[in-house]
Amino acid sequence: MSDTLSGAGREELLASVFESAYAPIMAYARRRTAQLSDAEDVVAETFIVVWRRLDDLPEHEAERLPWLYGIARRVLANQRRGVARRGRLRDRIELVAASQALQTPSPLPAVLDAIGRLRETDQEILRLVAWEGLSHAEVGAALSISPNAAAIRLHRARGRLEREMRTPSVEAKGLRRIRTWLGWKGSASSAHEREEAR
Amino acid sequence: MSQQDRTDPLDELRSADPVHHSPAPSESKARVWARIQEVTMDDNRRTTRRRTAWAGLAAAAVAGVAVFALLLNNVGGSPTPSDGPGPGISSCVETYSLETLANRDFAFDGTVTTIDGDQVAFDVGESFAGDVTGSITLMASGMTGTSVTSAGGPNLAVGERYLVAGDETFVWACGFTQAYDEDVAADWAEAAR
Repeated sequence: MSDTLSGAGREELLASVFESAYAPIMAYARRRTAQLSDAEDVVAETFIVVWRRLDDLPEHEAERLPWLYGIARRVLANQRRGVARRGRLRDRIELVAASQALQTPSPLPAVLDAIGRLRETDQEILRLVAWEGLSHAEVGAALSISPNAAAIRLHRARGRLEREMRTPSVEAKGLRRIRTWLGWKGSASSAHEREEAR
Repeated sequence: MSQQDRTDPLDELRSADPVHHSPAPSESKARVWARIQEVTMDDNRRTTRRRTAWAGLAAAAVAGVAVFALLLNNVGGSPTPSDGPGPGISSCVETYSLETLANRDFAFDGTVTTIDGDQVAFDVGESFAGDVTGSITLMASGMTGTSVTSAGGPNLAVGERYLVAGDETFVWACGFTQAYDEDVAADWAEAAR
């Protein structure tokens, strides 16, 4: 939309987008990173991408935020890959760690423990709806899928979250695995236990 | 409300929002914007260089006129430091005032000793905030003549005295850095108390 803008006009448009979207994008980043500095990295990189793609900026204000979430999501994924390459993925960026860094009540709420066990695509769609407050259409825009597909995925993810909340926590599963493993090492154990120990 | 409503996992997730009662610190926004501006200014410089390289002699002359016109529009046509935030105030993340001045990490009165690209060294006179003393080198993107910015800042010059405010290693434009003025300096000193 900004192909006719001059350099100064582009800067002013970016400043205006930044002013209106900084708070929600920063909140998005903080919910998904462990440290404030990581969140700042994500937000800065997101708006740098916006700067370079100003021509693609949706004309209607209502469509801009989902578009920005889509960019922030890819920036975050790149950041996670970079951190993973440095061998610090689980140290620095994880929902659980983010929650701890932000001093949410301890122990971790069961719902956060449960959502952390879902696959990333399920986690993201649930968070976009619950935390960013997006509609199906907006989730679709953020994830580059149709509103109908977003609704279906949300329905499935919600069901998985519900089931996950009824299952034992990671810690409990870990203890059970250790017990199973000890039993398997110490004496004859069933094939089922050996399978579970893996 | 039924039992099923009370245990809606999405509702539980909403109530467990980790940032709900924990807003980001206000200085975060300035830090992020400063980083974005670094990139936008670099991009503008590169674009200008690329265009210059492809332009012929005649086109270069036209471009020169255009750049001159742009400079006139953006820095008020004055090669000397400006007094205020300038015409591009809409690009400023925070509007200059004595209240917003208090949000900056540092504020001082200093004289420019050297300029190297966007790095500007100041000999600090009076420090109003941030306890800055002696000599300090700061990034003053858009204020050293290496790029054109709509963020409204003075063109810093060696030997000139300024009132300077910013965050971390960045000098802010938009009125937060301006030519030295005794009355304004007194206001800054008062605001910092």
